[in-house]
Amino acid sequence: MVRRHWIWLVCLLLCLMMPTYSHVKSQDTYTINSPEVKDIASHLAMEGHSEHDLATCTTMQRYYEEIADMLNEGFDKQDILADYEAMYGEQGFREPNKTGFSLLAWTLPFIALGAGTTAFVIRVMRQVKGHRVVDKDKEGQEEDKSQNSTEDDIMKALIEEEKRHYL
Amino acid sequence: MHVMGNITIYLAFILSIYAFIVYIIGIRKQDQRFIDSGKGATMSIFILASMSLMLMFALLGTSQFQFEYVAHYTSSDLPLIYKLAALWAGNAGSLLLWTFFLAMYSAMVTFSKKMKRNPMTPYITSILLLNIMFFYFILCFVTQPFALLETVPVEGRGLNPMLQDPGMVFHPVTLYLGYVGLAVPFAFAIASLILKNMDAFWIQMTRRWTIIAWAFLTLGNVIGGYWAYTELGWGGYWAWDPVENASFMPWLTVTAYLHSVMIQERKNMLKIWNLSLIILSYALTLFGTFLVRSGVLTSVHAFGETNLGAYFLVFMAFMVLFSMYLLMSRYHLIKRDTGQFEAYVSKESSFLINNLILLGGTFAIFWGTVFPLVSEAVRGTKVTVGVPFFNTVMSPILLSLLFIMAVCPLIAWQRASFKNIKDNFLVPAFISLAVAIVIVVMGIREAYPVLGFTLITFMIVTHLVEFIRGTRARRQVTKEIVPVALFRLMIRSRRRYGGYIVHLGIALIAFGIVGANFDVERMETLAIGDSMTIGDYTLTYHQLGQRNEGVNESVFASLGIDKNGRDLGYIYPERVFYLNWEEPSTEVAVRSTLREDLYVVLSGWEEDKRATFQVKINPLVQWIWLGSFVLILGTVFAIWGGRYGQIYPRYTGPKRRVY
Repeated sequence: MVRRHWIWLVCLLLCLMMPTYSHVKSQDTYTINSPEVKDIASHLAMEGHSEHDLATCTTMQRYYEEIADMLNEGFDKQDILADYEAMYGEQGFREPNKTGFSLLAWTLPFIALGAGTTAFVIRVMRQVKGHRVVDKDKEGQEEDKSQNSTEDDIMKALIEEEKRHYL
Repeated sequence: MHVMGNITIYLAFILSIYAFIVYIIGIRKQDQRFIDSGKGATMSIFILASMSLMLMFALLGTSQFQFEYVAHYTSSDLPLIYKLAALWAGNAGSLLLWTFFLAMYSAMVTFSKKMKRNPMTPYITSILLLNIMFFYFILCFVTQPFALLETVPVEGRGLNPMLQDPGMVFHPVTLYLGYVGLAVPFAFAIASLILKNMDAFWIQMTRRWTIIAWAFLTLGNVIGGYWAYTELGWGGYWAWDPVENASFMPWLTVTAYLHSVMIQERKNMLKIWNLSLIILSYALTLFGTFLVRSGVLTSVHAFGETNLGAYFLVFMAFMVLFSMYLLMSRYHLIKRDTGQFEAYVSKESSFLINNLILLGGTFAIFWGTVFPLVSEAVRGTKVTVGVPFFNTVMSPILLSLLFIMAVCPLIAWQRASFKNIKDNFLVPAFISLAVAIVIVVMGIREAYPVLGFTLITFMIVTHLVEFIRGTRARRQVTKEIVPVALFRLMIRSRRRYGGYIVHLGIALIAFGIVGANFDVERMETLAIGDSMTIGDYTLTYHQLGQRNEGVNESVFASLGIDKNGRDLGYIYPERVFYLNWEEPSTEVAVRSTLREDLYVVLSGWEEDKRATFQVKINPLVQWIWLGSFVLILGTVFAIWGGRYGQIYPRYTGPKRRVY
């Protein structure tokens, strides 16, 4: 019985100590120098101060301290970003959202690149098919020639040089 | 001075209209007298533009505060070099410089020895004159550099301290030389379209012009980056700012153009593509000017909100529509005799892929830059599109570009066989793989840096292989010793090997960019005698002092540097307080090595001399500047004339009586 009481007492003490311990520990964990703080801050527009110099911009420093405090209170990155979004909306960030209309900002460059690549592939395929009618002997000759383009260029340059020198 | 200054501008405006008209009459009537008169007027415009510039320099240098521009951007205590550099600190002055460069390039083209008896000259000059007319219109009626103030102030407002940096003396000048330089190949392209001359003549004639413009654009961007790194104090060299983007976009499209013209010259392919690229590049220079001067986007570089942007937008629209109309109307002619792709894998196709990636990158930057405006127009929400967006979108694009740059030089023209690919890429691929393994073992696990370093190695090795193969092939024929064979190989093929040196420069820049991602940062408040540790460094705060720098005052701190127990001396970050400026400027203290930069900013201080420092370790940043130097070296090597650069292409287009 006495043993069970001891166990309960220790558990109770641990439970009581845990918030205090985690609080004390986390207080020491995050400062404005923490990479986690920097990472979260890199997403925020900070009222237009995000491109400023942290060393001299007080607004920026205030944001860094705020983020460090929130991390110390136990919030994680997603919670903090969600908190800022609730406060400022999409305008509070240095990047557009990845949903709705703003998704277009992220996807359009790759859509354009994909469309360009597709157009290029189709064009090359068409033109190459046209050239496939060339007989195989000729193809073989060209292949051999193409393998040594550097050497060919050097030979041509040397011949040109000789021509200039003697003619 | 006021009258003289205005006369030079108004007269040049009138002369530009006159020259344009007589050129058109001369072309239509095929009468050389009109053309000669136009040429004379073009030279006069250049002389007048030079006079305007000299006058402006004189006014700035002698602090003539009755002039609005001088009073607005200078003060009597400013060092002479910055008084003169204030010419490009504001709208009117920078546009005056721009116009001067335009007039200079126009005169150079018109009176060039190469252009003698070339029927394209009147057309080219007319296009350039159209640009000059527009810029003089702006200088006459929108923003006047020689405007007087009603009351003469005792002292000027001074120059923004951020602009009082050697970087700012060169950055705008080089950038403008690049921007304006692109008007020359554009004018050649349009002239060839008007003349229905569809061969590669205009491309060969403008090769050097384009490379020079590209080199200046590169220098402008690099010097701008260096200025941002040392002067702004935010520890970075690139922030994807709208104005930085504006100068990067034409750089990308001109890079694409410089590659694709090789295909037109060699294979008579991609004619429409090349014309479109040069039109696009030119349009992007105007777009950049519109961005800087319209105030539609927020930027640390912008000139503030003016109505100038609207004029540039209208002019840009006019020039683009005019060019597109010409391009479309000549489409059937351009398509005739155009070469075709013969294989899926060839140098031609790899060049085109390189072009696609470069254009994809340009589009991504353009889209990111204008998206806040699009979002505001569509949804009424002005979102910010900053560094995280550009880094995310551009990283895969730029990595693909590195890959294609590595592959391109070793792929054969027309058709590459499997054996060709295997022979050329086996060794570089193995070396790169080994580097990748070493990087991972060293503890770098993030995908992009590992991929980045691997691709950079691959690129460097493939290029070195090209040098080795070339030297070996030459030695087999000439039996020269290795250094002689290498030297002669490069000299005889300047364009090719100059290009490879440029690629190596880009590889070094990429090395610096990837490395800079591993920066560490720390901000700490120290009392005198206290130390802080960052990475391998221990900084000890020794002293907070004050000194006079001319009329300005500076507060500096001295910190002792210790690296792994080794004394490395002192570093002195400071803040300068200007007499005419509310905000002090940050003077960063940087201790640079090829491995890393120790970057210290004096953030603030208390009465008891406790001071706050922001300290960063930026790895490999010096490679960016070193790579830029190599890049410029390669460019100069590629365009340096020598014995082999003196052969000019011959005009084979339609016959004309006027030149």
